[in-house]
Amino acid sequence: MTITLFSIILLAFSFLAGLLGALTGLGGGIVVIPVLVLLFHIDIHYAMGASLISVIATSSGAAAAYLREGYTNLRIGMFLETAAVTGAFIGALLIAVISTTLLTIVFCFVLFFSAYLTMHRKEEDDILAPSHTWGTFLKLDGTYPLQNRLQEYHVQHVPLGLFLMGIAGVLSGLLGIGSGALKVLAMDQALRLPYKVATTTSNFMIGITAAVSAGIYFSHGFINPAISFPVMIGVTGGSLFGARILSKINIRTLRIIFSIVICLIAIQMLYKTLTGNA
Amino acid sequence: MLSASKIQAIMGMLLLAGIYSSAIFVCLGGILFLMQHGSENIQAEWLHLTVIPTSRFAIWQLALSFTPLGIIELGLLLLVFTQIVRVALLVGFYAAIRDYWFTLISAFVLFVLVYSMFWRK
Repeated sequence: MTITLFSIILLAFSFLAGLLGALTGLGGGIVVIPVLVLLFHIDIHYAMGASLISVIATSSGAAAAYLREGYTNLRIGMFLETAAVTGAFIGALLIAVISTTLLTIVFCFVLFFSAYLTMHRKEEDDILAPSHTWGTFLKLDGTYPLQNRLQEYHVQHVPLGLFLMGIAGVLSGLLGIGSGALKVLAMDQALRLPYKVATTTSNFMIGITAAVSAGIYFSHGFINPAISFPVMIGVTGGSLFGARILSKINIRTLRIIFSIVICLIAIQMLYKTLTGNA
Repeated sequence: MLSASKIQAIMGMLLLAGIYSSAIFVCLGGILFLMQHGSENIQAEWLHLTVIPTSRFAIWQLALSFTPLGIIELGLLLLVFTQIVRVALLVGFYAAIRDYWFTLISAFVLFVLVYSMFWRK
């Protein structure tokens, strides 16, 4: 295969990665890593480096539209990001002392269970329940566009959300994947935010968390320009397109897409762990 | 007075400017790279053999060398630096509206982000 053909195929898959990543708030790693590792047999470290670039590009490309349309809650994003970046840094330091095998298997089952929870939440019931005291103190409540008007919402269980966000950070530092999945889950299941607010706020945050890891990956030489360029261009196109169609997609469809994608992440991680291909 | 919606609009424009300028560099470098090496075959070793610098100085040296891979590298670095700028913008915004809790919160995120850029084993 020529390098041109490799780049074109990677570009096409990356477009899909950016589209899915922007819609679900998960970033593009779920598509980029298996394509590079399983299809092109590229070393996992370079694949993870390219995946980080894809996450940052998805986050930047889609966030502009989500901010303009009023979905993203910047205050919640920044508040939770304190726990996420701290966790990510601790995770990167713990990598030498913790066995990731058992951790990965546990995490996979958490993801399967989360897919189940995601499908079963009826958000209309609880977005208007009174806010948690921290939510009121930090002014985390907000509004988002729903059927041509602004719908108000409140936040619940803030300490639990912050704790889950720290765990998400540690896991992403340790396992290099899954940070977006737990971010969306923490905001959907703990904070009880409207789904599109959860996915778009996660989308805003993952670029910052990934940039923390990217600094470390650059210093290891794991960000390869020859692999990253088709990924960056494809993902940018996909995320800009995804951001344009989010407002037209109904929440039920989005929950189904998210659940399928996190099950795929779990299967991919189980495969990697059980075959030792990590 | 800066309002939250104003800062969201500014942040959106910053992110778009960052991603478009980064994509221009990456595209340009990518096209030049394919013009030089596009018809070569991918060998399993090829991607491992590409020499990638790891020290800060060498990374910038590559980025400013204006070779095809260097131009791509410059675009990728620009993308990462946009993330620092967006957090710095929020620190400034919350300080300007005298929201001290959120100034502190954003400053902490900015600190970890910048620290990780300079962190070495």
